[in-house]
Amino acid sequence: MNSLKNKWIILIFRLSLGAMFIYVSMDKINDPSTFSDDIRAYQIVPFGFENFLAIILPWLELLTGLALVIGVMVDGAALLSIGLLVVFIIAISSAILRGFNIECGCGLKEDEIVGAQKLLENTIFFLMGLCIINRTSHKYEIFPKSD
Amino acid sequence: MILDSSLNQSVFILVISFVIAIGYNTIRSDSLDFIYIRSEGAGVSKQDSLLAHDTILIEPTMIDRELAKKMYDLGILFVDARETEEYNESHITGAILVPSVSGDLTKISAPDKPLITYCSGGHCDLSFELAVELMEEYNYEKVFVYEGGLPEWEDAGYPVDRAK
Repeated sequence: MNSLKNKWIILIFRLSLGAMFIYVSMDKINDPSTFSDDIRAYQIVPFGFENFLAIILPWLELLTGLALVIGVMVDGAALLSIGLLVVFIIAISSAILRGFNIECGCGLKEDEIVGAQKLLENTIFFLMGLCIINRTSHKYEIFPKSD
Repeated sequence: MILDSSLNQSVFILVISFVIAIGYNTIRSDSLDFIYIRSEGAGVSKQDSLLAHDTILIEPTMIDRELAKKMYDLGILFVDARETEEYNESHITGAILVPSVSGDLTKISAPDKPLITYCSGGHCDLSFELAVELMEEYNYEKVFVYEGGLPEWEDAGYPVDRAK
C-alpha cells in the first residue's frame, strides 16, 4: 500500500480527481435546469431543494477541482471531494436499489444511466480522495506551501 | 493560520462556491428559482380542474403521486407502458397493459375518457411516449403521465397486483 503514498502517484490522483470535477461541472453550470431535473429524478431531495442544489453543486465541484489541480488548500478540497463522492455513491445506490432507470446526472457523458459502472467510477474517485487526504508528500502544492 | 486545517479549508471553498453560484445565478438570463415549485392551480381541486369537460390538454400532463391516487380513486383507467414480463410481475391494481392492447385500446376506453400512463418512474420515458402516441394517433383527449410510476406507487403502499 506504500506505493499509494508515492508523491507522484498522489500527484496523479490529485490531477485526475481535480480534472474530473472541473470537467463534470461545466455542463451543469451551463444548464442548471437540466441538472435540477436529473436531481429530481432521484426523488431523495425534499422541499423542492433540487434547484438550490443544481445552482450550488456545480460551482462547488469546479472550485474543488481547481483547488486540487492548482494545489491550493488540497486538504480541504480532498475532504470536500470525499464528502461529495459519498453523497453521490449513496444517491446512485439508492436509485439502483429502488429499481430506477434514470439518468445519472453525473456530467461525464450524456445520457448515462445509473448502474454498477457509475458506482464503481465514484468509488474509485472516492478512494483517490482518501489517498490524497492521507498523503505524506505535498509535492507541487502552492498553498499551504509544499515541501 | 486559520486555513491550515482541512475543515476550515473545506468551509472556505464551500462559502466561495456558494457566493459565486448565487451571484452567477442572479445575473444569468435563465436563472433558476432557489426552490422548485410544482405548479398548482388555485380554487377548485386540481384533479377536478384537469378532468373538467371544458379543459383541453394540448399535450400529456405530468401528475404526481397524490394526484394520481386521487384520480385512481375516481376510477380513471391506468395504462402500464412497460414490457409484458414487467407487467406480469407486478402492476397497479386495475391497470391494463398497453403493448398487448395497443390499437384496441379504444374498445376498452373511449377517447373522450381520461387515461393515466405510467412506467418505472424516474426518467423512464415509456409512459410519456405512450401518452403522446395516445393523444396524437388515437385522439385521446386527456392523457396524464404518472411520473413516479410503479416504484413510487408501491412505496406508498397503494394497491398493486403481484405475480403469485
